[in-house]
Amino acid sequence: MTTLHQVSRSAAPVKSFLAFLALFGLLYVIAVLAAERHLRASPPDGALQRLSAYDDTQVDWLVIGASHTLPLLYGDIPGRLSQDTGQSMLVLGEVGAGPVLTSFILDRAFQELEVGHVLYIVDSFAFASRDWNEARFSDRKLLARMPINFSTARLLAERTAEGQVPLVALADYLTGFSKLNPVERFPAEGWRGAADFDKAHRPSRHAVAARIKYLYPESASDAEVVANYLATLAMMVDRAQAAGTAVTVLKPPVPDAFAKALPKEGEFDATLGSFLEEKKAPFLNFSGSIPENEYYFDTDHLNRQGVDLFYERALKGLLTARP
Amino acid sequence: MLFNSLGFLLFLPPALFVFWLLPPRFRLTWMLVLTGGFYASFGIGNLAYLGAVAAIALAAGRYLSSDRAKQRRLAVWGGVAGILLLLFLLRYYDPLVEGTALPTHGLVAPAGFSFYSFTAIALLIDRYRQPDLAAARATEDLAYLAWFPKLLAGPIQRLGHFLTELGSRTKPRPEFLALGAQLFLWGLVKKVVVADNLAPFVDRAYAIPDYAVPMELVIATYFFAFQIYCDFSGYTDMARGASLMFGLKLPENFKRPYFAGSVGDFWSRRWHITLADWFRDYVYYPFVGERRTALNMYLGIMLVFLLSGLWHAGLGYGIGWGFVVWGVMNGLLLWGERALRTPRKALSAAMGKGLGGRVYRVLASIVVFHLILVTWIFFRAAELGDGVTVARRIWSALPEMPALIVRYPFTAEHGFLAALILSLLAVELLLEQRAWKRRLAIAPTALRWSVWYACLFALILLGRWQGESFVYMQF
Repeated sequence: MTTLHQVSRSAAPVKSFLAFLALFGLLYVIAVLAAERHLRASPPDGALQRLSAYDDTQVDWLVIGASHTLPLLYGDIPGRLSQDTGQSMLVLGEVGAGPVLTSFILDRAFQELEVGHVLYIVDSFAFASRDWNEARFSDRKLLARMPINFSTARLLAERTAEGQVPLVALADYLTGFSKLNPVERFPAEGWRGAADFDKAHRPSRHAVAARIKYLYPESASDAEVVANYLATLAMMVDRAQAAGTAVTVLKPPVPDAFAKALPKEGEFDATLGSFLEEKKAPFLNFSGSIPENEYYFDTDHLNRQGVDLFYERALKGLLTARP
Repeated sequence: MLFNSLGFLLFLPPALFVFWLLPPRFRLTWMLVLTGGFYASFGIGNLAYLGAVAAIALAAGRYLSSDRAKQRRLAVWGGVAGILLLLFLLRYYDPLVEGTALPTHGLVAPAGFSFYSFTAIALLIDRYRQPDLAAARATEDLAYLAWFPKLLAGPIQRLGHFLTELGSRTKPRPEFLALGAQLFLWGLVKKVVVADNLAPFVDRAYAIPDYAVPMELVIATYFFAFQIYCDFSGYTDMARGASLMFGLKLPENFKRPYFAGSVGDFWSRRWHITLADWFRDYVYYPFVGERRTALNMYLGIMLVFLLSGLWHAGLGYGIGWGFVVWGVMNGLLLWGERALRTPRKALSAAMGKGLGGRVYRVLASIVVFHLILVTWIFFRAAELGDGVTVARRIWSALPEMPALIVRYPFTAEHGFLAALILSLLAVELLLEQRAWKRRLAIAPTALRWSVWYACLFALILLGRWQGESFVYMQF
């Protein structure tokens, strides 16, 4: 017959294990909260960090897209627009963001803000591969920069259920794992963004070829893939227009050598143009407007001089004409 | 489903839970199901390779229970030859015939192939040598061959030991579960925190040795010594830990090898112990035979290391002659050590047993570590030419090394990686002292829990979770 003493002895390891787990859970939560505090105290780097740091409930211009949106931020276009026209601008671009990630960011912005206009700075590469869309959510650097927020968690969970976000990415976000465990502890040389903003790029065919290979990982853009991501863009435009927000799609300037190396760019422009015409969303193609290399800090991103020129030549008029 | 993957961490608890829930008579079947599932997770086709080796071992094994000596001899030779032929075909044939008129088959040995092939050879020879070894069912032999924790990279266990372990514990023992989890966790720390953080640095330096500065090559070679150790011993610890949670002990494969006082100590008692035992019992002793002449022993040593080098060399993408050089170098080191045995003993005796003895042991460990370090260059380099380049560039920079060290722009990465290695060595130094091991085992709960939490948070905060595979899986 089992005695009370035996029962208590056999239960002791289980109790001890549960206590160990509980204390571990507590320590883990404390570590995540400390990491979250550190993230919020750091200068905003990611789109959702910038959204979280924005201290208003209304914005006139919401800029979305991939890395070509970021020179506007580095060149303080929001500040200049505010000074010149009194309008507000929030840049929520994210490096390597295709329509799927951009749509996620836009939805989060609509949850937090009353948006006057959406300016989508579009790139063909973002429509050419899953790498810049669904797979972007697996980027732990991106997840590490997403502040903990109930709405973000809920939206991520919805997108996971729809198959747009991998389950591991959702688990990572919910546990804050990537905030505790930086994926690049000692970053290798790579895209330095703001740090190179004041430089002028020395033209290099090899650099352009390497960049194109990176941006278009699949050999040729599959029409079906492009159509799939255009459908995501369509949903974005529909949602924005339904909320009474106008959408303008803009192709950013790129150097001549880079533009010529882009695969099937004319075909993409024509498809995008006719698609946006149907949606009654203006499509402005500035890709050939600043062909000189001296206005770029790398193969295809505007430097300070380039941003100034682009603002004066095109952007200021566009933003002022649509108050 | 690598041990360091989320998939495995999710696979293990339910696998264990069901194992201990099942009546003992069904547990062997469950072990085989788990093994099949685990190996199939690397590719369903892997099961065919495992099946081929198991079929040879089991078919030959049937005849080993025969009373007729000739039939038994034929069975053991036939079985071993069949397995070696498979090993040759899958690992060496294609690289050897490439560029000749002979056809290639395009098949590559899957992960773990040579480990279960070696186990199968051990199975046949042990059954042949010990006819009184308890007869086992085919399922038991199959479990011995392929038990999933040791399937990919050992340890290479002996049949008798495995059969004794199998089914010897019918109830889960908390201390086994705790010890198993502890071993698994420590192995994971070695792999994910130390080995995987060192790997990118080593990879960068060894990518194009001609372009790396000599100092970088020196640092990378030191780092590689700890990368390969933590990668392989980390795997073994995880394998032993996982198996122990199922109530099955696997043999120790590493015992703090960089504290070895001689090259012989390193190879026979501290590094990949079960493979060293395998070579000793199935190659060295049969070769040396009854008459242990000095010549026989020297040749036997070289044969073992040559075969070990050749085994590492057949990687499926070409013969890695650097591994053969690595094997021969180790054989030569053991030759040298054996030849210098008398002066070494005299020196050791002269140093005494007190402080002098300790100084002698520390100096001997440092010398042995650096001798092994030189051989690692040829193990790590992508090809023999690269190994020669690394060795030549380091050698030519040696006279200027003090000045280079002073001028070298050490970075935070160097500091971080060195700190990981020093922390590892500190723990190993503690574990090397038996008294400390005992003290830790009976330490107050708060202290023991702190050690667990330190390991867990090292994994969370410092681990490099990139799903890196284990170096030895490729062999």
